[in-house]
Amino acid sequence: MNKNWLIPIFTIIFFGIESNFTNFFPSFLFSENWVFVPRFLLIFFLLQAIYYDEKSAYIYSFVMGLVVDIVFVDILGVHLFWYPATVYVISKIMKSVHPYFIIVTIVSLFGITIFDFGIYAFYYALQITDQSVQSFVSERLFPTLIMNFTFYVIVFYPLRNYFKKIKKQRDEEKGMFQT
Amino acid sequence: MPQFFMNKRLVILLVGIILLVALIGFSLRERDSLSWPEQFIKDTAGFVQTIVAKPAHFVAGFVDNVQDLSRTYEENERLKSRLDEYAQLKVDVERLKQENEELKKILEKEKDLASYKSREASVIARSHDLWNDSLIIDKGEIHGIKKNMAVITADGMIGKIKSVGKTTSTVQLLTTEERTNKIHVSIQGEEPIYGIVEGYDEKQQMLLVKQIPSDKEVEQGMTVMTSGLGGVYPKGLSIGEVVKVEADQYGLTKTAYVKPAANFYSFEHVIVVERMMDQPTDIDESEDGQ
Repeated sequence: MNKNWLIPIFTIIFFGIESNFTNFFPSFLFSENWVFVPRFLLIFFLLQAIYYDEKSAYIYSFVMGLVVDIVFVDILGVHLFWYPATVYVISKIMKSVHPYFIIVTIVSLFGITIFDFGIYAFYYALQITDQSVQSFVSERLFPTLIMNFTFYVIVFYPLRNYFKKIKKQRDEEKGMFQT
Repeated sequence: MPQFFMNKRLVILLVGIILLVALIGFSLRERDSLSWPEQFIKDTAGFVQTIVAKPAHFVAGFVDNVQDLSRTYEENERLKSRLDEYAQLKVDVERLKQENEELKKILEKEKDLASYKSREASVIARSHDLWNDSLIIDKGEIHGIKKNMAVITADGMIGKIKSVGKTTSTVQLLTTEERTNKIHVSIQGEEPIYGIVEGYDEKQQMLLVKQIPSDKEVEQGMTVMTSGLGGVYPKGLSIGEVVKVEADQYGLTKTAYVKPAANFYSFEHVIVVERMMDQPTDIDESEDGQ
């Protein structure tokens, strides 16, 4: 059975979790100034691009970027640009390295770093924030990376297996049509 | 030149960047209301968010209850000690209320700056990065929510309505660093001292109340509330408590650091407040909101 339809379901679920995460995550338990930003959708798109299909990852990341921008930011173009851009950079990098767990992890965390820096650069240019780069790195980027790494470890194997499975199915179907 | 246009990737990149800048420019300008596609997407997303938010609220409520249970004894002791005070206070409040109403009747004055109408709403989402800190609540245009209404919790004011969809609306919090985020407040001394909330100190987690005349004495521990004079919010919404006062750069005015009364970590239910007093027509020039 084709299980492609699970991708939009996953996207919607991760979007819902992300929206409610900041409101319920007890960040004051760690440090008053730390900000933990959930990047679950981005992790999902990166794994989708690496293990399944680059093109569908672009489409999903573009659409969700638009939705996130409309719902949360009110400035169209911030997530709309950086979701697909990050997916592009990461999938280019992954073409030249082997997809071992460690390497994929490092590359994905690198992707989150690019994404966060990109958003920060946009906000800084639009004067929404005037945080210095040092405090951005120590108070936002590190907590964000740590938190997202935890999430990443939890979802990595189920998602990888799922994407590999549907990719195999798709390739088989393609092969069937060709013969 | 033709060679330049042959490079398809470069052209796509350039067109993309131009479109991006145009899009950002388009959405940055001041808008009175959202366009219908935006409203539609917001409301649809709000539906998804509600599905996740409901169980989350339930779990959070349960955890709170357990924490409350473990603190019961301590709290009970403290409450007992305040109970006597409370009875007296209640009598006083009733008496004053009655007196106030009678006096108003004599003056034939129905509304004042402090009167407001309130609507309950649940929080269904919060922005990921707290730079443009905003909440999304499950009440919108069809429930009578309008732009620039004040939003409070039981503890104090937390922000204002930034944009309204049909069934959801976005709340901009006081902690957002934005130049349009100004509130006219009064500091409760022997006579009210007026100032304007302008900005938020992220390091110290305090609101900055600026433009306090330098000849007024502002002391630590004074309470700060909305004055109602800005023309948008009702009077008497609690903002916080003065922690320290500094003279500004030129010594002409003072700046007070105010610890917000409301807790900004987590929100479950908020109250949207509509001012009953008419708003001045030249709202653009008033201090609150715009």
